[in-house]
Amino acid sequence: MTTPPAAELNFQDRFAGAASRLTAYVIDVAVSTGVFTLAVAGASFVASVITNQSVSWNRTNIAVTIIYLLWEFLYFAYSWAASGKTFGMALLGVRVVSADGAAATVRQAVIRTLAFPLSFLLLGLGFLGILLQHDRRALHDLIAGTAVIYSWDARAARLRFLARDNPPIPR
Amino acid sequence: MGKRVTDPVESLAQRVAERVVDLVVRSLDVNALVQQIDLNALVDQVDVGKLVDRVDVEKVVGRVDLDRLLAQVNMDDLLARVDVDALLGRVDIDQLLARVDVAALVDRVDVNEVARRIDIDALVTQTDLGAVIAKSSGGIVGNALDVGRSSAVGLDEFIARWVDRFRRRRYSGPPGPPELLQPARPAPPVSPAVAPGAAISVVEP
Repeated sequence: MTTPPAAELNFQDRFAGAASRLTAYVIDVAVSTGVFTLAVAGASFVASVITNQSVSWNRTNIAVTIIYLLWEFLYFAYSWAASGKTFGMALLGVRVVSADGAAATVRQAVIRTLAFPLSFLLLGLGFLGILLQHDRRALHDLIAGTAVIYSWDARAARLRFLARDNPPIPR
Repeated sequence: MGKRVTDPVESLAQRVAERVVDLVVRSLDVNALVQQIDLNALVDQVDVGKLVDRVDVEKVVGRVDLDRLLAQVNMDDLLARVDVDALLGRVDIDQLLARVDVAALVDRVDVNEVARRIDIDALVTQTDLGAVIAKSSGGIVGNALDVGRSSAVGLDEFIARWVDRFRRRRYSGPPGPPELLQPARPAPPVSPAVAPGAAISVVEP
């Protein structure tokens, strides 16, 4: 099997594709929701110990839902403003930058987080830009002036593989 | 009347003189004569400097056909007679190197071109550099991350390729933001036997 031409390119600093971004988002939602659920469960337990009554908070409670939305906002906005990547994006090796490639600003991070739900409207048509746009930008990227790029150095990973699989001959 | 008498006499005298000189020269032993001459004393009397000053060296050299001269030289024979070791022994390498402007020399070297010629695969697999990389990089977690990322990038490319195929466009890899865009740096091809999940393994459509 010959290596396809695209595989011989290092994609670092190039626009990231749909699969990497979707996987990162799924991981982020799972992690942030998991952390929130644990926090709510912990808070419920503490409240039940203090009040000596059975307390069971969950997301059917409007207050909990509002706090959950605030937490999600903080999780994404802070991560993008601080380093350009959330936990899931760090795992997948992608990050958010300004459309021209500069580091994303706090303002852009906040706008991106607020505009993110808009991409889900109209059956997720806002995400089509990732597939169809030249620069792979979704609706929330266009609104915030951001883009998502690969930050992972494939060549370095390749060398690590080579080093692991071919230990040097002892002299 | 006087002229009528003198002309034949002059002519006679001329013929006599020529004959006498001829007889004298024939009777002379030139070799014996030369042997009696003290050549050193003669040469000592010659002002060589003055003589050389009168020679137009440039004119002489200008008349020499150097190509023809060199064509007659057997270079192999000439070089065979040169003692290269002795020649090199007379060269002061330190002094020679001291005269070399290393900075200017390095400036003329295209380091990127040199780096491109390096077989990174061979460097990693055949030297201790591989061990250094293996030690410095993460263990199982790092390995899993590399595999996961390369799989995701492979899927990205697979999707992008198919989308462009439906749109009847030629796919040439993802572009990048202008500030980060650099000329594409080709990496050496991946050997599937060595690193099946390494780099970006793109699924052939």
